[in-house]
Amino acid sequence: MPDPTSNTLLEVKSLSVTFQTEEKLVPAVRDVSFTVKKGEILGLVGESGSGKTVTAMSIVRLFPRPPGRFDSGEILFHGASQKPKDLLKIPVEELRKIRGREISVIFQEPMTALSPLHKVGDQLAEAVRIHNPKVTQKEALDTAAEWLDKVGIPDPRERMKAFPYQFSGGMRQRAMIAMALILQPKLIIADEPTTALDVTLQQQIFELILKMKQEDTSIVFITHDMGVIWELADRVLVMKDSHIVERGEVETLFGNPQEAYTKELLAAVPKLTDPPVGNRQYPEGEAPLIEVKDLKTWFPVKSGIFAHTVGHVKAVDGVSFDIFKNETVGLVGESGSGKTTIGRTLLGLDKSTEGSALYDDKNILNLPFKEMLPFRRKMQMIFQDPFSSLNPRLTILDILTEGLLEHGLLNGKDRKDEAARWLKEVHLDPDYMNRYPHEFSGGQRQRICVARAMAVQPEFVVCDEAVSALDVTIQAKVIDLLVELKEKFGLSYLFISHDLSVVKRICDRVLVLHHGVVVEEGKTEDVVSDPQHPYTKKLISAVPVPGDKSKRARLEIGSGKANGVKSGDSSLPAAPKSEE
Amino acid sequence: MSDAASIDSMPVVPEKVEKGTSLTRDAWLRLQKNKLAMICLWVFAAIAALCFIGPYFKYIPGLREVLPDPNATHLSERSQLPNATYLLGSDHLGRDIFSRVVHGGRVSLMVGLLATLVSITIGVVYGAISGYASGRTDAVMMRIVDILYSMPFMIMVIILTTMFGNQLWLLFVAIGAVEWVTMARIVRGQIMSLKKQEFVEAAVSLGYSDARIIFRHLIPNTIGPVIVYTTLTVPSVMLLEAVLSYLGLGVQPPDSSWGTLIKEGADRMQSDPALLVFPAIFFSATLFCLNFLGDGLRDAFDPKSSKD
Repeated sequence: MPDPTSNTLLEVKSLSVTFQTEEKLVPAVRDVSFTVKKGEILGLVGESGSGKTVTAMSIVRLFPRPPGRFDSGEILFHGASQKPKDLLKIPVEELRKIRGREISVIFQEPMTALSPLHKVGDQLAEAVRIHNPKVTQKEALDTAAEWLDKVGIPDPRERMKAFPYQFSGGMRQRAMIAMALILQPKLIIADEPTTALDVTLQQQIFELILKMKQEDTSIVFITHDMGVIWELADRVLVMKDSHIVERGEVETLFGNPQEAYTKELLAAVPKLTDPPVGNRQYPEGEAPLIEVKDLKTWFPVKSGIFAHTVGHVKAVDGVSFDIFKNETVGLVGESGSGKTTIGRTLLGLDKSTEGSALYDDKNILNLPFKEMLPFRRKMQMIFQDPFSSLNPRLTILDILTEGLLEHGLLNGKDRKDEAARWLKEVHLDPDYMNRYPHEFSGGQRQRICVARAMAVQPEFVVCDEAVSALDVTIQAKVIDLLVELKEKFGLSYLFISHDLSVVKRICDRVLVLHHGVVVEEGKTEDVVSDPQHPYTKKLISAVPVPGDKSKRARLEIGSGKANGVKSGDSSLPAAPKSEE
Repeated sequence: MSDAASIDSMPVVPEKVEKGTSLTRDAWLRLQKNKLAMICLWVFAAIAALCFIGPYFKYIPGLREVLPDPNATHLSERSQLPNATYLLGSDHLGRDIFSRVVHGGRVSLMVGLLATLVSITIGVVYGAISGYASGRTDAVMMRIVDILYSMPFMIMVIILTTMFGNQLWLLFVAIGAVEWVTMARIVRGQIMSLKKQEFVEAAVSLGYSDARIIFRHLIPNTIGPVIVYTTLTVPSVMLLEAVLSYLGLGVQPPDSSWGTLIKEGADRMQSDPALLVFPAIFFSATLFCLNFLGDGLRDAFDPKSSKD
């Protein structure tokens, strides 16, 4: 057992947590033990529902109780006081003093983790003053500005007078991090702090986290992404079904994973070096299915009582491309680059400002409802969020057959056969057809969304970040499904994603978008192996690559005085290095 | 998931298709666990059943005596205390108080339920169209709502009654005209946030008509707030009716409602407290039950936001 004077900061001993649902008890964490050393980054990796968040939040008792409850275990924190404290037993008043001051939390969702009604600076100052009542508001604001500066927010004195909605996602996340750091805690719990962010922003956050580590702060980093673990963590715990299935030093574990589950997780990480799923299609000499010319979609900025237009946001500003039959075209870019708007405009969900999109020799942009109707069936969309893209009040049977009935392609008698057929087509049990969407997992829902889109037998499908919200292992399966259906029905996809490594897996050609303009396009392999535009290069270098030594280099530099890190473990994982 | 292996061996339409649990059924199961709300539901159901079935007792020989004609006077049996003939006693004209409460309750509940039904229907449809249309249509529709909001209700009712005389249907019109406005605003807000969800966009890209999207995909998803608001509207409508009747603007004799009964009782509070106490007990019990039921329904439809 570690001696308390050593560099152990936190010890979790056989922690068990149970959630009481309507009918039954669900174990969320089962007999989990681990320690966190001073100045180390501990990665906690697992899929949604594996209990990783509950484990980490138990440290500060931050999850709803009831329905959750602690069954057993202790969490010993070697904080400022002489004796280690059991965080599960101490009274709430005492815990409050520790929360924020000695242990702080960075939440996943930067959009909701800041109070929308208070200025950013005031929120940071509040955190300071609650724990140090003697500090004046002015001093607290000075400290806030200093920390906003440290996390890389330009012109902090001015920016901290802004409200959260005036910050971009990345800036909000940095403000959140500043808030977590401002009291210089000893332990930071980071719950997927970069999952909602673009890869380039993710890199900035990583830099910050490594800087914190240099200042001898310990970090528990929760993620589902093995690539992130590789870039950041010293040690890693792999969780599955409420248990820790494997643990170890990152380099050892990546080099020689023991458990089948760990191997599966590692294999599922999309890599730029992955071979494509299915065969690449490069149609030549054919007429394109859809010809997009000089597409512009501007959104009016309105103000006043009668909402007159005062300006425009140029989401898409002159984009041209063709899509051929059987082809998958990728659209890559950061959020705000206009990639989603292109897909939506083609489907008539947004109005275009200029340009044309020829489909069967007809411009399909801004068609009136009646004329658009035949194209509605030919073009479908698969959305990002499997939780909001199914109507919660309808059964799967209704969801799958409504489109066919509406287009008169099906009579009422054959509904069940058709629904069963499509459920089988997406590898779900036809028994499920009378269930409601909330009775399915995220991956199953996404399959239902795929089935709904395919049921009307389209020729062209827009996949808008269709796998981004899913766990990596499920991501891979949904991609396989998409490719399988494409080859079976001869479809064309417009595959929109911020994740180049996913695009690499599925797309034949790729367009890189930046501020509503295409900056680079070409065959996927060519673009990835030999990017021309600096923005493409930046996107590619930001993709986490498990096993790439160079990605861990800065970690080694940054960890000069950290404990727990061993370098020189030569056994690199099987994944080949990416082309440089 | 990934149960791909076993699927190909299955028949196309499975013999036993399991039943899913809809969100509404989920809410009902949760409500059943809330004791207070369930007691309130049953008490309210009992009162409502008594009020709606009671008036037909006069056609049934054995029950006729329990609920005699509420307007039949027995001057020799005035102001009696509760006894075997007069279950809740009799008033200053020898009329049966129990019978009057039941008959009055029928009018009160009818006004409450019908006016609510009318206002909910108008409010939901209006709010849904306004929220879905957005832009200029929405702006115009909501300005109309604002204008209706700013009308002084009492003056409107007084003008209506002086123009058309005291008639029961006027009550529905007047109350309905006021109550739907709030409902429309609630539903509009709900629809505006719902229509940004991807299932609505999926419906658009499948080529569904606007009417289908509004009535099949959007309105059913507002059911939670609508049901909750309904259970809170019924008592407020009943209170409005009572206030109007108390002021002499509502139900006119020989009809009676709980509002007019309470007014009569209040006039004779000192000599004959039973006249006030019994209608008031029934009225308060109904309002109490509906409010707690509404509270229970809110928790049942939105389990995340409840208490803890």
